[in-house]
Amino acid sequence: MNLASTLRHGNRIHFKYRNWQLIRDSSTAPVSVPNHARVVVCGGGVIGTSVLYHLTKLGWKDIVLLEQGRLSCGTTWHAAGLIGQMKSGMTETKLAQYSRSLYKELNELDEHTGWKECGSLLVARTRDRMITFHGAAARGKVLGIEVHILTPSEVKTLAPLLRVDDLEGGMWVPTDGVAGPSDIVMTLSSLAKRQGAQVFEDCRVEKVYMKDNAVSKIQTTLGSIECEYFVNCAGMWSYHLARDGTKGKKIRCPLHPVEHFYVVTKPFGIDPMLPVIRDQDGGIYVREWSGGLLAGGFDTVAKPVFHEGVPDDFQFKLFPEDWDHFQELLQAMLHRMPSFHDAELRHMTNGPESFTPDGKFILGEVPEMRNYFVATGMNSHGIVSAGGVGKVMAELIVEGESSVDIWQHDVKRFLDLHNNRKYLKDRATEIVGKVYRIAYPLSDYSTSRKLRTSPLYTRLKSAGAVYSQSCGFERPMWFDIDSEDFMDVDRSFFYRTDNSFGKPIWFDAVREEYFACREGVALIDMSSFTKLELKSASTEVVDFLEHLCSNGVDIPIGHVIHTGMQNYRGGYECDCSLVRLAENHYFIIAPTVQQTRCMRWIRLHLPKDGSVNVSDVTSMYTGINVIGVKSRDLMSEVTEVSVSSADFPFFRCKEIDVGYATGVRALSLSHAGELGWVLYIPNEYALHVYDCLLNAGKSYGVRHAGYLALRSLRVEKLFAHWGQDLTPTTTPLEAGRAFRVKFNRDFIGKEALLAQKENGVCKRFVQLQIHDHDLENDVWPWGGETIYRNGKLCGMCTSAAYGYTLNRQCVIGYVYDKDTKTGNLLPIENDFMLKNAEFQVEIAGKLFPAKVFIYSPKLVSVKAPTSQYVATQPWSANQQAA
Amino acid sequence: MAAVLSNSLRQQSKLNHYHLKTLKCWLSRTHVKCFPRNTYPKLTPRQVSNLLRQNDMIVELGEKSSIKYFESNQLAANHPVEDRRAEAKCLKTPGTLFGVFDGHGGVACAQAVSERLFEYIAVSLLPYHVLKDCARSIKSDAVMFDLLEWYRHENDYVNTDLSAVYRKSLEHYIDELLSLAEFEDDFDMKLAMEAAFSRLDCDIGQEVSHCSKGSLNLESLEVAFSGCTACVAHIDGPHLHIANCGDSRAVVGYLDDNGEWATNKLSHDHCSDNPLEVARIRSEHPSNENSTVIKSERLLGELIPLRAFGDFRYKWPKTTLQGLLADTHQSRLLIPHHYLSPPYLTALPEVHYHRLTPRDKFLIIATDGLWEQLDSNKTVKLVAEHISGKQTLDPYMPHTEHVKLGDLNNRLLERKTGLANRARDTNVASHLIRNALGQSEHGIDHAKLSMMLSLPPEVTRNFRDDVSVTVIYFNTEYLAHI
Repeated sequence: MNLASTLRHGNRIHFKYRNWQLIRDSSTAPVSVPNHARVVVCGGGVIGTSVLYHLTKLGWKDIVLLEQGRLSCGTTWHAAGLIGQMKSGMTETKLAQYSRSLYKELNELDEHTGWKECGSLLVARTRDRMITFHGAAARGKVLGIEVHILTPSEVKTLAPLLRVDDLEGGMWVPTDGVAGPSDIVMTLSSLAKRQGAQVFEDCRVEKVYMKDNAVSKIQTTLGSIECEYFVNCAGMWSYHLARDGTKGKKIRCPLHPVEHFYVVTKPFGIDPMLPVIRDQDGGIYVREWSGGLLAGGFDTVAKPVFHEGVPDDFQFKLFPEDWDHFQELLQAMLHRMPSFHDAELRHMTNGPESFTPDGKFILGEVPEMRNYFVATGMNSHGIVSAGGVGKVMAELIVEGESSVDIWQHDVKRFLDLHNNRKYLKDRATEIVGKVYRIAYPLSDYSTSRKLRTSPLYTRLKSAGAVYSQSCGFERPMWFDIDSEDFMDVDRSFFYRTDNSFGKPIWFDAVREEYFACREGVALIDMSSFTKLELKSASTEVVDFLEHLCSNGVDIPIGHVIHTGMQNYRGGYECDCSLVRLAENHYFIIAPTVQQTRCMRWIRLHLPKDGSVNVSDVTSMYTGINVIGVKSRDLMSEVTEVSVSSADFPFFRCKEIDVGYATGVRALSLSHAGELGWVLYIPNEYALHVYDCLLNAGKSYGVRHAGYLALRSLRVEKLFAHWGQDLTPTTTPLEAGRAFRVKFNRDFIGKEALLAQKENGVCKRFVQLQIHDHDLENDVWPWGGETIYRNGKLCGMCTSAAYGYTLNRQCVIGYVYDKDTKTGNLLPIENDFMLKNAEFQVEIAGKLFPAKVFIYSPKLVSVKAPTSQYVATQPWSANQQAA
Repeated sequence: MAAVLSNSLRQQSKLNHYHLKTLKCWLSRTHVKCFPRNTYPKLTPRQVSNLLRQNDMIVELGEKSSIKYFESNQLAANHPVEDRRAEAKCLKTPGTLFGVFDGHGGVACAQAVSERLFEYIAVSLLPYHVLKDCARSIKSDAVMFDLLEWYRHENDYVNTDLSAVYRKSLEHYIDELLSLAEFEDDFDMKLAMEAAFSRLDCDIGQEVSHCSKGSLNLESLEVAFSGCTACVAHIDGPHLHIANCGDSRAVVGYLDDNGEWATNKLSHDHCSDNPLEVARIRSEHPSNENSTVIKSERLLGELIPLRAFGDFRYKWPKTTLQGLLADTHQSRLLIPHHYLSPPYLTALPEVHYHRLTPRDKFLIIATDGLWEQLDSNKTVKLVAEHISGKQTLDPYMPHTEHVKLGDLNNRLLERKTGLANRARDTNVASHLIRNALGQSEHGIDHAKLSMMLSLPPEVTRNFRDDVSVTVIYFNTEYLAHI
């Protein structure tokens, strides 16, 4: 046991601000680092040591870990060590599940991790909290984690010290537990050392050098190391290390430290096997600690610290106690545990903890340069995630791809705006409290808002737009035209969820928008999409894109295709619309969240000779989707170009004039399968074009619509969105988009897709229409629900929406067939879905019968059926159907 | 001399009806949701704070006193400011003096009174033998016999031009006190304060003709023809005396039987709102003057405070005034209309005594610039909130070895209200002035504060008056143990 944990376990006194240097073992001989290493890991916290350990597990030996102070000295040493597996997302849960099994196994091998399998008990004060427990139980079933839903009296039996009279129920995860953070660090580092890794303490990274845009050398206080890979696991220091510590580059690593608190009591007869208790509605957690309790939580409005930078020597140090700030949590603890009143205080711990702007981790290779990896921003989930994160990072470094899909946590989701200090500081005040708060559907932040807006923002706002942000871009979700108070800034500016898992306040408003998009005409501001241009002198760009895209890109000028960019496993690295503007000129429309990721993927594969030029033109164009069966007539009023179905069919692009504006790129598609044009307008013309459309549209009853209407349209038609339905671990074959893959040429991922074609797919993208669902009283599906086939678990939903034409709840997602004995996925054919199969979808613990569709369902009651595009068929088939 | 007099005349009129109307109109406009057209805050919040705090001071007094500390501040509306304040410890007798002085018709009188009144009071309080020492040393021209230890702000101005004259007058007063003291040995605080006030006012009048060998002393004339009110507190252990002359006010904030904050007003405002005061003045003059002696809520239609130092235009006989003014064109203007039975004005204070109890927490003395904007109850409430906010400025630390978490939580809950009350200004006097100028329906309004503090000098006086505030905090433990 190291000194830090000795201090923590022993008769602990305050050693706040005591300089660790004073009590250090002075026998450490002066050392110098090796001249060369394959990997240099920076940061000796639980993440850094886990990365080190897992690299050695994958057989790499030539690796070095550098720690500027002593192992665990930043945040790890004061962590509470809770190992709760049921996290809000699948990825986090998988990472936690692996960590738990790692700590348990090591402990059983007498490699000390402090593992104690006391289980965890979560309590619910509200029915909504119970709904989230049912969601967790469903995820537990998918991942094989034992989860029990409890009544209040069962809660009382498991933890008699709790007050339960105001509870709705609870959740019991028996395989959860606690671990010793410092023990884990010591064990992982010594295991790694046994495998040949080297660990240097008192060694600070001063500069990261690069060569040919890849990591080449690390300069440290003990000399410099030539290396291939660098992993930034510097915790609260990682922001500045990334931004200022790289020669010639500024690496983004958006996180901000905050003050984070817990109290420890003197012993008062607490059972050592007391489960870890979480009362998330009160923002608190509690665990047993030396016969007393350790209790902490997540404050509603957090206190950011170290805004100007983290001192290098903030090692084994704490902040002054702030009892006034802690009172909110203390109140909740006293409320939940009456015996806490008479417990005597031992000490309060107030240490730094780093949070990211979206509460997700920061993992993966940075987009700015090759072989620079980050694993940081753990949002107070460092210990519980460290095992999984270390494994995933080692896989990414060694194998290039990870066994767990981490795209939501990928550092490539960020833009420069996320690295803004003020943005991070303001968001940090909010994000901490969100850790335990119920994540209602479509909820959004209220801090660090109104950053990126389209030129139409104020106009749409005064028309009632209710905004939500993606990548800092404010997007209209729906239009609240009935409320008196829609002009109130806060009211219309922030996306107001009505904090419900049931029927939302916008249900009727979105219905009207939806039907305008189908049977009338509507305008949707879609400016947030990523827009790229690729050019070359000759046709090099065609060859380049042929290599990158799974669909054939050598299309006639003025044509548009949807294509995926697959990774080497055939998964979707990106899903985009591709426009050929000229022989040597393409225009790419990609999802908003892809702005950094997609650009980096393209840059990574650009011809070394510089023959292809790519530029990000996202901020140059405003996107307006003119959608609905009357869109053709409306378009014909504002432009002199013929928009007849013969002259301007689906999937074409023309540069047209609208009103007095020129250079408007009109794409004849709607992203929702309806007749429509998406206009990409140079920003300075945006308001003019918008006014033209509004004025001309009066006689057509033109309306505004938002993203919720679009979502309903696409889910109803089985359209997939990257980030929800398409991810780096799903392939076009699984997604039912094989017709968009042209195998008669070479492209990245072709081998993987061919192999999959040969062996059959193990999961299929389907739509399920839910029956017997009571719109008013039942909990709604919001994505993440489990799917059952003939009573057997067979998949999870990725997106959900109410289909206003079908008058049903629709969900889309993947179904699979798992061998109950081996746990392996079996190849499935269409018959798996279509023959002798009864499907059910579980929503908040209740099973609903569902009808499965593997193709876009036919939607009736539309006046012009020919104007529909079916996403699950090639365009030619669409034309034949017409 | 003409210039002195015309200046005094010009500045005589206080806030008149026209101005009040403009003010009300303006303020009502600031309450609508949007700013009036073309109105935007001219000052930043920091500038506002700097302006508000430039004259603030805090003085801690020793533990062996009924006063823990006092905080004081002053904000000018006139240029230069006509308010004065003074705080001093009596060195030869127990007790501390606090005063606010609201000058009008120029600054001379307020300046003189703020410098001299405490000395007059101090000597009035001296026992016979000390008085004798005092007389000896003041005559010997040796080291000045120290009567007072002043607490001054660095911006406070001390006038030395007339110090010789002032000293001579004080000398006379001491001599007279000595001669009287030989016959009387019953000390009466009330009488002593009244004597000090009256004597000083009398000396101010006398100095005009006496001091400069026959010819008129212009500087003394300026003092005598301007005026000022005075509100003075003398605190000696539990004994609190307030001597008030004019429309300043002294208020004690205390905790009542229910532990609620309550207000104890220790002075009467000497203005036309006070029926007793109006009745007093009417009774002092023939009944045919009933309608002219107080007209338009003013003394002789001109002066708002109904008691004041200086202002000899309302005190001297008509003949004296005419004698002084014979050589000026404006003599007719300077003698008030209906000036039939002077004197109309007195500097005699009303003296209140209050024995302090441990429940009394603080005393506020302030000029009418504050009371025009805030009433006594509201002011006491603001100070009380400020106290509770101030208590939470230091982070809470559980001190003992055995702290139960339940008890700890109760302590933290008590601090909650304090945290909510944490004011922008640590100085309570600044806090009161900020509230007086910036209060609106929705708390303190920066736009209004900015407007109030950035008015052009020539109109400032139409919207607000000079404000002087001193808040004296009592030492509860000390008061509990006497």
